[in-house]
Amino acid sequence: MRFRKNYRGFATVRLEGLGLEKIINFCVSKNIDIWDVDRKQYTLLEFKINLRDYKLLNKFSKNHGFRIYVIKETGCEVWTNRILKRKVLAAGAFFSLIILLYLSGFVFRIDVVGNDIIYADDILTELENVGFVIGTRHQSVDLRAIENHLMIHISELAWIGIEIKGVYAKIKIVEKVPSPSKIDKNVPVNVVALKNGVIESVIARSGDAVVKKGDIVAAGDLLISGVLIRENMEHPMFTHAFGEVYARTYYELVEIHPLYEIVQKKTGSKQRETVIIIGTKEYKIGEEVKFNKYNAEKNSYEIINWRNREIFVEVIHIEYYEVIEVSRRVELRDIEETLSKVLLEVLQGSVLNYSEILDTKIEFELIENYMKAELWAEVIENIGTKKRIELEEE
Amino acid sequence: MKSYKARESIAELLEFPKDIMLDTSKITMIGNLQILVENHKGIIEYTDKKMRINTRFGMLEIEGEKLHLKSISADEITINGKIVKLLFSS
Repeated sequence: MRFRKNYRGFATVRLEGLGLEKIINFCVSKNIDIWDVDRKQYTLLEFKINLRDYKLLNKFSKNHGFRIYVIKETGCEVWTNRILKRKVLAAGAFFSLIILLYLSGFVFRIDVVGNDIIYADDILTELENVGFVIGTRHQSVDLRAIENHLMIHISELAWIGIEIKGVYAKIKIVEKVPSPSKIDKNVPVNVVALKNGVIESVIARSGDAVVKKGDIVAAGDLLISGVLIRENMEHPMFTHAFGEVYARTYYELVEIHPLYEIVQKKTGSKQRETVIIIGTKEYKIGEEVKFNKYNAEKNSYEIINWRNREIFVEVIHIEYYEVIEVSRRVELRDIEETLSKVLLEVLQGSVLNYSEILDTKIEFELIENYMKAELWAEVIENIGTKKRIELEEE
Repeated sequence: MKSYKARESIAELLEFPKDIMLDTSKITMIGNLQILVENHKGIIEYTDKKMRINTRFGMLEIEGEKLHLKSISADEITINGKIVKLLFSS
C-alpha cells in the first residue's frame, strides 16, 4: 500500500474554509483515500492525497468556496516527470552511465601477488609483450594463452593465475622452490663429521671407513675416505665416498623463564576516536588519547565498494581502553611445563633428520626471580656429510 | 426493527460475525492509543480534542488529547492519539 502511494506519488494539501468535515466526507463518498489528516486550526486542514485524486478534490473544493493548495509533491512519478522535464540532465545521467559501463570493460589496475624472487616489473613487462596492459579490454584477451606465455618465458614460475574482477586484474603467482645443490656422483668426495660424537656404527657403501665403533670424533673429522690406497697400486684412486656414520651425540641446552609476568588489566575507562581516510589523507575526529597505557580496538568500514572497485574512503572507529600493568606470579608447575616444551622444541630443531633421541633429562633451578632449566640429551644421529676432495689433499 | 432482531438471532444461532449480518460498524481499539472504525458513514466533527463519527447505529463521539486522523477511506477510519472517552448516542 505504502509502496503504491510512493510510486504513484502523493501531494500534501492545505485546505482553508469553514466546515472542513464536508471535504473529508466528500472524499469518503467518492472513495478517495486521504491520510495523515491534521487539523492545524479550526479553519485549516492538512492532509495527504494521491495525485490522481487531487484534480477531483480541487474542483469540488473550489466550487464550495474552499481555498486549496498543494504544499509538497512526492513520489516516483513526480520525480520522473521532474527529471523528464530537464532533458539535458536526464541525457547527461544516461550517458555517464553508458560511459561508466563501457569503461568498466577495461583493465585499470594490475597487481602482482605472491612474488618473492621475481620482480613484479618483469612480469608486467612480459605481460606488456603479449599486449596485456592498463587499458586493455577484457574481452579482447585470452587469459589462458597469456598464462601459458608467461609460464614459458619466466622460468622461475611454478604456477600463474590471472583473475579479472571489474577493472582490477590480479596476477597470482607461485615461484619454484630451488632444489638443494647436490654433488655429482662422479666428483670424488670424503665423508666428514658434522658434529662431535662417539661413533656407534659405520656403514661405508663406497670408500674406506677410517673410524670404528667407540671412536670420538670432532666436527670436520674424516669419517669415510674417498682416497683409496692399496698396496699394489702406484697411485691412489679417488672415489665418491658415501655411507652412513651413526654416532652418539650429546646436547646441553639452557633456558630461563621469569617467575613474574606482567599482565595488562583494563581499568574500565575508554575513549573513542574516529578516523576518516579519503585517498591518502587522514582526518581525526575526537580528542587525543589521554591514557598512558592503552589497548586499541579498531573497526574499519569501507564506505564505497562497488563491483570490487575500491574507492578509497575508509572510516575507522578506534576504541582505546585504559590498562594498568600488574605483575603476577606464575605457578612453578606452569613454568616447568613451558620450559620443558621450549627446550624439547629447541632440541628437535638442532638434531639432524632421522635421528633417534635416546635419553633426555631436565633439571630445574630457582635463581632469584628466574627459573633456569637445563636439558641433557643423548641422540644417535647420522653425522656424515659429503665434502669435496680438494686438490691440495691429493 | 423486527428484521434487525431476527437477523441478530440468526447471527447468534449460526455464529456469524455480527457486523456483517447486522450491517453495523466494527470498532477496534489498541489500548487507548488507536481506534479503528469500520463501516462508518462519515465524519461530523473533527478537532484534536473531540471527534464525532456517524455510524449505522448512531453517532460515535471520541474524546481525547492530540487526536489525529491517521487515515480515512470509504470503509474505515483510523484515529491515533490519547483516547479518554467513547460515547454512543442514537
